Amino acid sequence: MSDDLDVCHYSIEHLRDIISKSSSCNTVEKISNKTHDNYLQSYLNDQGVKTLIVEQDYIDHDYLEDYASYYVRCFSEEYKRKCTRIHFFKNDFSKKEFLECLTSFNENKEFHNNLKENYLGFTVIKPLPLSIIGRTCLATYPEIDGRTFPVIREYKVNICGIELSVKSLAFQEQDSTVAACATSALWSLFQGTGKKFQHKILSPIEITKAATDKLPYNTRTLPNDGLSFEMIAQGIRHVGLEPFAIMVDEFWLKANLYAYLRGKIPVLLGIRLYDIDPPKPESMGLHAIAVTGFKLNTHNDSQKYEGKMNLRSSRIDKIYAHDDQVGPFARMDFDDPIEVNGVNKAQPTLTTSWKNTRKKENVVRAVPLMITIPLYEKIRIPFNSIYLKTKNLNDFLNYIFVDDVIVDGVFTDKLQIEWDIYLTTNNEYKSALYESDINGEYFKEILLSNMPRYLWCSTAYIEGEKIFDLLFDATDVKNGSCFIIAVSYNNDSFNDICEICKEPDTIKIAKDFGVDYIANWFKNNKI
Amino acid sequence: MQNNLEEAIARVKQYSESRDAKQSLESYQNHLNETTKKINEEQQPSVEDMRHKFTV
Repeated sequence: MSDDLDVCHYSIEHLRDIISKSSSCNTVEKISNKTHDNYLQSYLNDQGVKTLIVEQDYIDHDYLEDYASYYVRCFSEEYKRKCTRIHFFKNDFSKKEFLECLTSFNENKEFHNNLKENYLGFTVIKPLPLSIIGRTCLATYPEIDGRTFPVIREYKVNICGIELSVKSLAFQEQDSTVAACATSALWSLFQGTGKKFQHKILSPIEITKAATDKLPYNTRTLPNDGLSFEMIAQGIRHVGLEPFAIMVDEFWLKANLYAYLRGKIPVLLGIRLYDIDPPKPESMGLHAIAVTGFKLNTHNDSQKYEGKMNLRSSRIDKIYAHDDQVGPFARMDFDDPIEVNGVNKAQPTLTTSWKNTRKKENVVRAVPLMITIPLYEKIRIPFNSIYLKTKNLNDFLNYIFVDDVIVDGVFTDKLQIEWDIYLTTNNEYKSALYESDINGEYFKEILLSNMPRYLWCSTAYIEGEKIFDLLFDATDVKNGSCFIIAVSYNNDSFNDICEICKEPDTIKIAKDFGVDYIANWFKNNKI
Repeated sequence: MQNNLEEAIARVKQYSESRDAKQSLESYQNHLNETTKKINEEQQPSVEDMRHKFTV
């Protein structure tokens, strides 16, 4: 019995050895050449992993589904049914100590508590050739200095009846037989949306089958060689969500990622990989990843994009993504644009941990192309609509509070309001208000006000100070105003707007900017 | 808003009477409408975009 479970001290060599023995077709050398090996080594060292618990003959639901649908019917007997699960701990303990704890729980409560406190997550090793990293849930790096992982959730783990938990979003490597990169990215997305929107979390092969149910017409889909965004959309619809796909440049990528991730919805990003080692960048193909976090530059002003409104999201200087060829929460920094064949202007890039075909590191860049967001059907109003409504209000406020903001039809943003636009829910918004300085009758009034389940929030900051929130109904019709209320954090500035909106001429100007419905609200709501 | 409420009220009144201000606002609105249209067009993926396979 105790042979099925082993406890050992961590070293990368030891880990490679365990992985190699768990997947008979893979030698230690093969494993050490994988990008995941680099990722795991650096992650486990950074987190200070000391001990591993290795569970042999582990039955993994997702792999079992893939096995039942494909591998069980292969002639080869090399594909086994059971996996190996490896748990990571930050504290030092031996197999003897662990087994002792199982025989006398009451005397070893402290040991139990230490296990819980020092648990960093697990990885499942699949008994397959090449693609071996199965369901993997690892704790994230600390959320400090603007680093945020809004889509993580709690995963409960049980080892011999000991309940442990880790906050993460599950990751797995593409299998390349039943699942390509887009399937793995979708699988990670569904790990987040499945809990948030209460839909079934499909296994990789179920996702591939759902996505290719109607497409392509002309060829077989298993073994799978990849999914298009059309197929990805079909896979998302299969679980009852609505796919929302848009093309992105750097500004819109940051803005949309920020807005939806803060709403706890992971985003699928389609990228083209370029090897920039040769004099002219060479395409390595199209790849899909699940974006799970970002880092805001909190020290400097946000980056300015010509003709665009000043958004807090422009402060994003890194994103974190489940890249099935690298690892979970893999860091990608926004980097210099590159000139590529067939495109007139320089393309924005992100760094990657990929190696090029000559195994060289730091020379593969990702050019973002498009994103797909899996949305609950009631989230009908897209980010763009709220951006444009907020921009109209931003321009209107500039126009009435500052001289000469429009010269020859060209608008100059002189107020420099920084707008923080994100998706939220009625409950989350109201809970967050308890952390604010708002109190008294006004606070109670907001808490008691009727609001839809999903909200868009545009927060205005001037010189770092929060001035007000504008709340929009995310479930409204696209041509409606969607506006619900504004919530004040700085009553002087807020009341100035209320006061000026009492002027009939202001309302006329507001109409010219298409924000008369907001101006009328301010007119009637002085604090 | 930057303690210039009175100036702002005066500015609003002046704008409502000024033909130049109205013309300036009209040209701005035209520019805004074009920008809005352009944003929507640029972000709409084409059928071809949707059919590229992500294979790597």
